[in-house]
Amino acid sequence: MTAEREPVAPPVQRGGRSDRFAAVFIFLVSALYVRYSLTFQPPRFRSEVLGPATFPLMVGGLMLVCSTLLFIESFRAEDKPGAPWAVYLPALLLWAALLAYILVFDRLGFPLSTALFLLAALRLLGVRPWWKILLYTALFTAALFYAFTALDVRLPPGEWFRR
Amino acid sequence: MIEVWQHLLFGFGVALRPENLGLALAGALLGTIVGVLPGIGPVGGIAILLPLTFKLPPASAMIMLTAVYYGTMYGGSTTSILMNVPGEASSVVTSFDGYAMAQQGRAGPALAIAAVGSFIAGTLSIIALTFFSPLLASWGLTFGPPEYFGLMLFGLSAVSSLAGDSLVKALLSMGLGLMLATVGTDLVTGVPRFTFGIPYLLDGIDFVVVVIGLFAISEVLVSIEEARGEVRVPIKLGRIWLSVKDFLESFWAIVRGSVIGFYIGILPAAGATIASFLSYSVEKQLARDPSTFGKGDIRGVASPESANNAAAVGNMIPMLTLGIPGSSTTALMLGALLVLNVIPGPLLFQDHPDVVWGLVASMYVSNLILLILNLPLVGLFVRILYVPERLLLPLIVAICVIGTYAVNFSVFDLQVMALLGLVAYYMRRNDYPLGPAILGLVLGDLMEQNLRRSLIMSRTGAMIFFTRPFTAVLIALSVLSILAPALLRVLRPRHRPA
Repeated sequence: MTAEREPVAPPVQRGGRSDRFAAVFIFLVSALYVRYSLTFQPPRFRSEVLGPATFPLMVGGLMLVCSTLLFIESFRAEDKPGAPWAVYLPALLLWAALLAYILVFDRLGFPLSTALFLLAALRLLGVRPWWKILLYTALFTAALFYAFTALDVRLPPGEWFRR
Repeated sequence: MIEVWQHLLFGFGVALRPENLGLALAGALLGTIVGVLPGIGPVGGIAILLPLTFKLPPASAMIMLTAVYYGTMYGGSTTSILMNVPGEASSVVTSFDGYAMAQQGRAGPALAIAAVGSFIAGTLSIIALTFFSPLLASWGLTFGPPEYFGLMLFGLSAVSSLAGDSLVKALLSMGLGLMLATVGTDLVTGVPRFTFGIPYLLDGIDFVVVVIGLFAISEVLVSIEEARGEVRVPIKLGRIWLSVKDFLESFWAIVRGSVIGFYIGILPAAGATIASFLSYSVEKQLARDPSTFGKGDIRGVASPESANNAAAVGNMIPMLTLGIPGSSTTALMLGALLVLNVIPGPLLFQDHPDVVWGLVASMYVSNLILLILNLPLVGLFVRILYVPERLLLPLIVAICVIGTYAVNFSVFDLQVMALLGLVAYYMRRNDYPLGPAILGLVLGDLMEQNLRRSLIMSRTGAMIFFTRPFTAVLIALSVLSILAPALLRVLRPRHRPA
């Protein structure tokens, strides 16, 4: 049995408040989307064709209406005390690791960047001790490399290794 | 009718080619493995395995994807019986009696009846599909752009109205998909849209990139919250067997489940989940002693498992014959076909008979493969459950990254994938259904094209949508499906505590 973890940070608000923030955010993004749509120039020659802006404007309009509705609805929804921040932290950290992996993928090349990512991710998810992390990293990287090479996928070797 | 037999024979010729048979086998295996993995449902599983099919000819790619789809469904019911962890919504009902049976030491019969029920239901509904879809396709040939626009609108609104607790959130999710679909060069006017001057975006955002981000990455992120805790231990398996008595007891449940599942599956949005719940409650009502349900009644496993398999087949009918997907999974398949430059719809039956009939024949074949393969191998799959998630999840992420990269060899795609993964993680955590997003993404382009074509052929402008009877009915149904929940709330007298 594992002991119940102490909440180390205030709980993340779900329900009403979170929805309200989302509604405002979506509204702003949709407004930008509509603004961008309005810049699309219809072609001068074929006037019978629906212009390039019409469909995006319909979609943007739908989003504006729905985000407004979400905003209104959010006052009726109760604030559910969600999980503490600590629960979301591993996922967010893994996402950060993924982002770092992607940003160096081209430069470091497939084998090195993948190994580094796996190292970080396995450690993050609580694999211990270190020799196990290293073993799995080596195993997975090799397996992925051979599997995808067999499937005829060209993986980047890394700029630093290409002279 | 004779043509159907000829087509089917031709289809089996395609499906039984050694390479396609091998792909079906590989797909079924991989699908089952992915389906057994905790936290990865059929949609995420298919998304991860999509890049594998790019280099294949369309018929082979579809054959493999179908096998993967069946495999994931199969894997999902295994975990819901053994661990009470349904891999997807459509096997939730299975866990009621399946897990109870497993606890009583009857995991073997539960798994066996799930396999046998799925096989019988699958086969019955594929037979129905074989005869039904050419009829629907030839009816579909009479449709013009307005009818297609109406069908797509109805598909989108029906899926959104049934997708989650909040209609507004479902519509926002659909809007996200539609917005993503509008990125790229406008096909008709050549105007670049939402490209922000980035050359990568001129061709639009690749379907696979979006799907892997939305479904696979976000599923991994959600699973991580549980991955650091204790390891879940599945129940001991015992022998996989099925007595004649068990089979006879569940026979009619299987047949009823098949019929219910098939018809529900054809309807847009309804699909496997509703079919499994409905057939379970029908069985319970028909039973002489309904109190045994939920406590390990074998019919409670046979009926939903048959229904969700039959519904999965029924789901394919509107996708193949009209090009209108009614669920996330079929939307995914439609997207995969579009990537391969095959456009589903009535013309598919004329232009690509090898794809259609090869696919239909391979559905028979994969069904059989799964029955033969998985019963003996179930023990092996269960071993995967012992592999801790904290080892699997990093590996899955790496596979997603490489798979996405393989689409265009572009790091930009990877960034889009990661961003969408984070967005979808937020959406999942806040009860936004993801199905409407994928449907919007797949249907966005087609909807715009059909809207344009309708207006070009119309002399009365937008009135064309209301003067053609079938289109008018579809649009009315769409509006109704969106407004119905609100109307019901107003009409129904409220019960307030006094």
